[in-house]
Amino acid sequence: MDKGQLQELIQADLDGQLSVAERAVLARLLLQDPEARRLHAEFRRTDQLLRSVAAAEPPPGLRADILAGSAQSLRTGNSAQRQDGLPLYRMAAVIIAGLLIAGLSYVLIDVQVPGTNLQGSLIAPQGHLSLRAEGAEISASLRRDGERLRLELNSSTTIPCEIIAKIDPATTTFVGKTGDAALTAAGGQVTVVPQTGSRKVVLDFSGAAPIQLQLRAGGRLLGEGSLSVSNAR
Amino acid sequence: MIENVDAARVRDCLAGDPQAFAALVGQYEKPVYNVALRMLRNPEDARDIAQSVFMKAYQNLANYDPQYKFYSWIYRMAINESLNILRVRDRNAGPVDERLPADDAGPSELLADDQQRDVVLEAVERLKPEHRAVIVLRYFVDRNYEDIGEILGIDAKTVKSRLYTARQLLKEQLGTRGLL
Repeated sequence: MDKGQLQELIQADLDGQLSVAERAVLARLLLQDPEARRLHAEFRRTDQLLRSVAAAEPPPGLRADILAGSAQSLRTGNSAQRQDGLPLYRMAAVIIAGLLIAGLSYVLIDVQVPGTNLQGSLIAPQGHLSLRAEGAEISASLRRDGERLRLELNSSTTIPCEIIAKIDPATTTFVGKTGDAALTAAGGQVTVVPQTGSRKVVLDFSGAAPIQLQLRAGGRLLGEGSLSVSNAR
Repeated sequence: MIENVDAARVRDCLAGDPQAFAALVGQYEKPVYNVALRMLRNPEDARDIAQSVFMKAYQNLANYDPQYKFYSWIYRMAINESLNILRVRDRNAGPVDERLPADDAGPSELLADDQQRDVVLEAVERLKPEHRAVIVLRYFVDRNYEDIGEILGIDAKTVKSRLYTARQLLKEQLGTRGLL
């Protein structure tokens, strides 16, 4: 028996997949061959070490966050329940409401509201966005550079805060950053933690807009908005 | 059977019972988090992925095909999201040699349990994603060849082959670190 066959027998042994006949073959080999015994012991020890790693407990609050997210999804109509077709009158109402919101957004697009904590734009997607709260001001611009989407973030902060860029991971990928800021990328979300003061960070993505932007501090949402740019390359 | 329980919960959820989804989250929150954690070795990324997986599952329950196991569906999402992050990391950091021992490698007969665990997890992290995925599913959520194949979309023969290679590489690495 060659070494490959022996290792296959050992692997089947570790996974509880040995037939009675194979078990007898392996037992005989282990009895006769010290090299086979050594190999078997090493794989067995590797297996034990892997099994000795205990499962980690999820962080507190994860389940609550998931369920809160699903409840939110239900309220916004993106629910798990089967959706039957909307009646015509409801569809018409949705279209009219959409047009009204779009019109209102167009009017308000550059309006700055002084003296409030939350001034992030929730209006129609655009290439530029300003988010401003007490202690943090972010100016963001999105442009297309060939295949890349380039998101430039200029921050002026006196408090620790996070800028979160959300993308659709199915269509868009985070490629890299330029600038001095801590950054994590996970599950369609890039989180930038700029140092306080005036900073500039550029994030590159490949794929398609829009990109949702959030400004957060101490877990609190200070402002959010959407950035978009033509997806034509 | 757990698959039947899951299928019933999915049906209840689609019928509008929010408790049914809470039960699915309760059942799979920990393994989904562990899949992502062991793939990425980063608790924050793992948390984000767990949250994202359950949100996607919730929003797409109507598309869930009950001929597959519910956990296969969500573990697959967790693995795929982890692989997306690893691809971004690889682009930024360059490839890792699965066989290269860590810089501080050396005999370590007296390692404490938590240090020993760190060495094992570091060795897993050095594996290529396709090898890491089979190890994570086999050891950290206890799936068999058939389940792993269903989750990764590969046949059982390929599962065995990848598992074999991954174990071989881990054995070499752990041997280098004096754990065998």
